Amino acid sequence: MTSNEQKNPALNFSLIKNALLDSVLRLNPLDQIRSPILFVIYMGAVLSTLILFTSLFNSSSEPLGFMLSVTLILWVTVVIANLGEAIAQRLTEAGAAELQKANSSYTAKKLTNVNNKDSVVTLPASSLHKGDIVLVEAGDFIPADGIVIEGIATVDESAITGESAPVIRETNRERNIVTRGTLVLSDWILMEVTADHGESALDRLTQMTTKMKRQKTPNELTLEVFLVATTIALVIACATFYPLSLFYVEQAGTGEPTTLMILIGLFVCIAPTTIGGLLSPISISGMNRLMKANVVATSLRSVEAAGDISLLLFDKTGTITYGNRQAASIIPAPTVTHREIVKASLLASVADDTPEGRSIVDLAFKHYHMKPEALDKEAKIIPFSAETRMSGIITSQGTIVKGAQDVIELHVASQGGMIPKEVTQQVEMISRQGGTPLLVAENSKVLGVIQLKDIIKPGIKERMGYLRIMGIKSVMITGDNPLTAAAIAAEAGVDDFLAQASPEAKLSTIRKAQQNGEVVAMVGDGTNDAPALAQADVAVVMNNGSDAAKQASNMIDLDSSPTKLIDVVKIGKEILMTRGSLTTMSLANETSKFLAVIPAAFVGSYPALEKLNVLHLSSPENTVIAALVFNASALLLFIPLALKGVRYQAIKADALLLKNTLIYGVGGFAAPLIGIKLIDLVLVALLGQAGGP
Amino acid sequence: MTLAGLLITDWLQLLALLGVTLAFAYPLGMYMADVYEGEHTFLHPILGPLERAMMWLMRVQPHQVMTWKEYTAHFLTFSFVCGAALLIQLLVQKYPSVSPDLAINITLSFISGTQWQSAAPETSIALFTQLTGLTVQSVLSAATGLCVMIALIRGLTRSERKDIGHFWVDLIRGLVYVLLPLCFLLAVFLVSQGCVQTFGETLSFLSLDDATPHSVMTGPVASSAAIKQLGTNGGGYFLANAAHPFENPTPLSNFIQIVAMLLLPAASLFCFGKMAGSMKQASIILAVTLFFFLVPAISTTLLETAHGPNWEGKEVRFGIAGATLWTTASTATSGGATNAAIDSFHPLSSMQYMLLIQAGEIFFGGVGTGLACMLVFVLLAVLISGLLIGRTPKYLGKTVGVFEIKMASIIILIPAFMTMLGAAIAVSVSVGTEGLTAHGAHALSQILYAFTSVSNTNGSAMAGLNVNTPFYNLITMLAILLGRFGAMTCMLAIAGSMAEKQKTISNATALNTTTFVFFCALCAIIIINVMPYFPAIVLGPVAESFHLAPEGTWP
Repeated sequence: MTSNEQKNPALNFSLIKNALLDSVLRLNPLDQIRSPILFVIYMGAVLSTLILFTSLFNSSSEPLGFMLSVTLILWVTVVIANLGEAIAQRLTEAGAAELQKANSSYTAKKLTNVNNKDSVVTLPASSLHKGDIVLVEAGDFIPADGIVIEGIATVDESAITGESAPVIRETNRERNIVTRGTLVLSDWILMEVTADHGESALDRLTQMTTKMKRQKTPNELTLEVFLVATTIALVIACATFYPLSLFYVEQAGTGEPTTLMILIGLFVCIAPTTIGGLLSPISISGMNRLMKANVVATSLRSVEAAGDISLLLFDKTGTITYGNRQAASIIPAPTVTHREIVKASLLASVADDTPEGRSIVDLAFKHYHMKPEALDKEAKIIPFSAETRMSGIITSQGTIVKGAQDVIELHVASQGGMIPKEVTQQVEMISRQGGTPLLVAENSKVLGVIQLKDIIKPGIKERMGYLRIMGIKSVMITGDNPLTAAAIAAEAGVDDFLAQASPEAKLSTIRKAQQNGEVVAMVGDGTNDAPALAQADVAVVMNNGSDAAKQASNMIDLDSSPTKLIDVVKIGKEILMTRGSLTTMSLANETSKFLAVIPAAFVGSYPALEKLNVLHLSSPENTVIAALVFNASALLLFIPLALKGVRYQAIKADALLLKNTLIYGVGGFAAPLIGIKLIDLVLVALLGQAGGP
Repeated sequence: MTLAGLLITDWLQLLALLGVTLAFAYPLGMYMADVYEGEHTFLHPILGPLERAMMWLMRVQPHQVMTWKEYTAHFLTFSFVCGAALLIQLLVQKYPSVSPDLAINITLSFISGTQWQSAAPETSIALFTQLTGLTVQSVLSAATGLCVMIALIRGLTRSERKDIGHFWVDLIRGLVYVLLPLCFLLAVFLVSQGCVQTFGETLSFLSLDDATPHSVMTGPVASSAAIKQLGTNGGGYFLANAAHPFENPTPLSNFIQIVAMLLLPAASLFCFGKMAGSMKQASIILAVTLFFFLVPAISTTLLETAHGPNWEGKEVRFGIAGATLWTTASTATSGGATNAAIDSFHPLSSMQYMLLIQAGEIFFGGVGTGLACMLVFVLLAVLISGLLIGRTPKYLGKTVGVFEIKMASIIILIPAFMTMLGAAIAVSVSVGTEGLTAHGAHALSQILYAFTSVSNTNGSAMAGLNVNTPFYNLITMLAILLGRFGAMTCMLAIAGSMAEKQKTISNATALNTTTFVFFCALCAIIIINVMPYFPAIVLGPVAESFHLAPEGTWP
C-alpha cells in the first residue's frame, strides 16, 4: 500500500483565482440547469434582481438597502455554489495537464538491431509499436509502457504515483514494469514496449480525467433525486405562502403581507444549498483521489461499489508472498555444526543465480553473518540442470551439492553414504508445514537441510487484519495443495483459502458467494483470471496483468500493489460518506435556519410572532441577511471538506453512524443558531439598530 | 388527582389504549402474515369455503402471481369499477339532494378510504345506499389498502422475484379472513353498547323543553361504524360522526373504537416484522410510531385542560382525554372519524392534528397505507444513514436505488403539492373564501386543514367551512384522487422494483436499521418532511394561538 501523502497539484492562489473566474463565467442559465438545486437558487437571484429593478421605479415596502443586500448576497451564494466544482475541475485539469505534458513531447531511442545497443534511431514516441526495443538513459522519459529486459535504473514515477522517492526498475520480475511519462534519473535500461500508442495506462488515465462530462453514479443520482424533491417541496411552500399571506392580512385587516424578497431569502436559507453546490465537487475530487492512488477505474460507480465489498479474492503469488520460494532456515544434521552447514550451503549457492540460490546467500549473511569467501581457481561449478536436479560446487576439499531429498539420497548412496534418520524427520516436518526441503551434502555425508518456503511480504498480516475490520473477508487463491495453502493462509492472516484452484473453481466460488449475498472483489493478473474477474462485482487487475484480465476488470492498479484494494475501498467509502455527511449537515442546518428565520419573516404580518424570536435577533431584515450570509459562508467553508473528503476510519458501522450523526447532524443544527446570532451582532455593531421594521 | 398536569385516569386511559392495542395487534399481525402467505389458520375450517367460492367466482387460483404493473392495473381497475357502481347508486337513489359534483366527490372519497363528507349523510343519502354503497366501499377500500401494504412488504422481503403476489388473491383473503371476522366482532360489541343496527326508520320524540316533535334517524349504524373504525375510513353514518350517541354510545365504545382505529395498522407492523424475519425491524418503526403518537396524545390533552377543561365541541360522556386520544388516533391514522369538533380545539392542538396528517399518517397510519408510507420514510432514512457510513444505502439487504427514491419522492410530494397549492388557490378566489365562517388566522387554519385532510385521504375536517360547493367538491376530489391512487401506484412500483433486487448479507460495517441512531434518523427525516408546511402553519394555528392567549399566558 502506498501512503498517499503525495504532492497535490497546487491548490494555489492562481488556481483559486481561475476557478473563481470560471464560476462567474458559468452564470448562464444553460450551465446552471445541469444542477437542479443550484438552478433554483440561481432563479431566486434572478428574481430578486428583477424585484430590485422594478422597485427602483415604484415605491416598495422594503428598504432599498435591504433589497440590495439580499440580491448581492444571493449572487455571491450562486458564485460560491459554483466555486467548488470549478476548483475541483481546475485541480483535475492541472493534474491531467501535467500528465499530458509528459505525454506529448517524448522521443524514443529505438534499437534497430535488438542485439546492438548502439543501433539507435530517435523517433517520436507515438510511432512506437508493441514489441519494439527502446533504450532509455538518464534524463529520458520512458516513452511507452513496457518491461525492462536489460539494465537497471532509478526512475521518478511521481507524475503517476505522486510518490517523490525514486524507484528501482530492473529485469527482476518484481520490478520490471515501466510506465510511460516517468523519468529515468540514473543509469540506463533496455525496455520492450508492451502497449501501442494510445493504449497505455497513462493514456487511459488522461482520457478519463479530461473527460469533464462525467456520468453521475447511481448513488449520486439517488441522493440528487431526494434533494431535488426536498427543494421542490420548499419552492411550493414559499411560492404558495405569498397568497396565504395576502389572504391573512386581508382577513385580519392589519399587518403587512410578507414580501417576495423575504420569501426568496427564506427559500434560499432553507433549500439544501450546501450539499446542492458540493455534490459535483465531491465526485470529481473522488476521481482525483483515485488518480493519486494510482488506480485507473472505468467508472466512479465501481469505486463506490468497492465500499460495499464483503469478500475479497486474490492470488497468493505476488500478492502476499514473493514470487519465489526463499530460504528461511538452515538445520544441521546430527554431528554437524551450524557453521559447517552454513558454510557448505554458501559454497553450494554462491554461484547459483536462481532466486532460491540468492536467498540462501542472503540468509547466510543476515542470520549467520557469513559472507561467501573468494573461490579458488580450481573450483568447478555444477549448475542446476533438469537432468541431475541438483546444483553445487567442486572444490579442492570435495564436492558440495544441494537438491531435493530423492536426488541427494541417490547421490550420497552412490558414494556409500546415507541420510540420517533425524534429517529425514526434518524433511518430513518441513513438507508438512508447506515448505520445500533442500538437502546439502558434502561428498557422502549429508550435512543438513535448508528450509525453503513462501515468504510472506512484510505488513501483510496487518493489512489483512485491517480488511477484516473494514468488514471484508479475505480469501487466498493458490495452486498449492491444501496443506501448504493452509500453512501460508494462517501465517498471512488470511480468513480462508481456495487450494489447487482452477479457473472454474474460482468462478464458481465467486458465483456461490454472490448467491449468498456477498459483494465480491477479485484481484488478479493472469489470463485465466479473466472469467472470475468478469464475474466479480469489483475487479482489480494488476498493471502487469494480461490484456484479457484487464478487459474483464473495472479497475487497473498501476502500481500492481495487491493490497491497493484497501485504498480503493477507502476512497469509495469516503465519497459516499462525504455526500452523506454534507447532506446531513445541510438538512440539519436548514432546519435550524428555518426556525430562526420564520418568526422574523412573518412578524410584519403578525407582530405577536416576535415572541418566537428566541434568539433575540435585532430586526427581521437583519435576520434574513444574517441567515443568508451564514448560508453562503457555510457553503464556502465546506468546499475544502468536499475536496478532501471525510476521512474513513475502520470502526463498526453503529459507532461510525453515531459519530457522523453527532458531528454533522447535531453540530449542523447548532451551528446556524450561533452563527446567525453572531452575524446579527456584527450587523448591529456596523449599522446601528438599522433596518428595523 | 393529577400527574404531570394530567389526570391519573387520563394517563391510565392512554396506557390502557396502547396496552390493549398492542396486545391484540401482535397475534393479529402473526395471523395476517399467515393469511397472506397462504398458510393454514384456525379460521380456515370455517371461512375456507367462502374464500374458495370467491376465488372461483373471480376465476383465480391461490398460487397465481402478478408483476407490479399487473397488480397496479387490477387494483386501479377494481377501485374505479367499484367507484362507477357507487356513482350510479348515488345518482339514482331516492334523495335528490346529491348534485353530480357531490356524487363524484363522495364516490372518490369512499373508494379511497378518505370519507371526506362535504354533506350530511343522513339527509342526503338513502339507507340502502349507505348500506350497500358506502359501507361496502369502506370495506373494499380497506382491503385494497392491505393489498398494497402486503405487496410492498413482499417486495422488500423477497429477493430476485418478478412478482409481488396476486391482487385478487390478496383482496379476497384480506376480506374473508381479516376484515370480515373483525368487523363482525366489533359490530356485535357496538350493538351491545347501544349502537343501533336496524332497517327501521326515523324515530320521533317530543323534546322536554318545548314539547315539539323531533326526529332521529336510525339505520344499520353498528356495521357501518365497525368498518369506519377498523378500516380507518372515518365516514360516519351521521354527520355528527362518533359524537352521535347512536354511533358511539358509551365511554367503553369510545375506547374500543379508538383501539379499533389503531388495531390493523399496528398489526400490520407485526405482520411486517414476521414477514421480514426480524421483529427488531418492526420494533424500531413501532418506537418511532409510539414517539410521534405519544407527543400529541399527551400535549393536546394538556392543552385542552391547561386553562380549565375546554368543553366546547366535546362530549361530556367521553371526557377531555376521550376526545383528544380519539382525535390523535384518527389523525395519526388515516381514520378521520371525529367524536369532537376539531374546530373548537386549542389552535395548537388542531395544529398537531394537522401535522400528524401532513406527516403522511404514518404513526400507526391508515390500514395498509400507513405502514407502506412509513416504509417509504424508512427508505429515505436508509439513504442518508447509509451514505453517512460510506455504504450504498441498503434496507433489509437490498439496495435503495434511484427508482425507489424517485417513487418515494412522488409519494411525499403529491400531498404537499395538493395541500399547499389547493390552499393557495382557495384563498385567492372568491368561490374559495365565500364559504368561510371564521376570520383571520382561524379561517386560514380551516382551509389549510381541509386540504391537508383530503390530500392525505384522512377525511376529518375542522368544519366551519362550507365545502359542499362545486369548487370545493372538484378540487378536493382531485386531491383525493392523486393522494390515494397516485401514491399507491408509486408504492407498488417500489414493491416491484425492490422484489427484483438481490439481497446482500449484512455485517458489522453495514447499516443497522435497528439502533437508536437510526431511530433518530427516521424521526429527523419525518420532521424534515413536514417542514415545508411550517410557514403556513405559523400564520394559521400558531398566530391564532397568540391571538387567543391573554398577555403572558401563551400557550
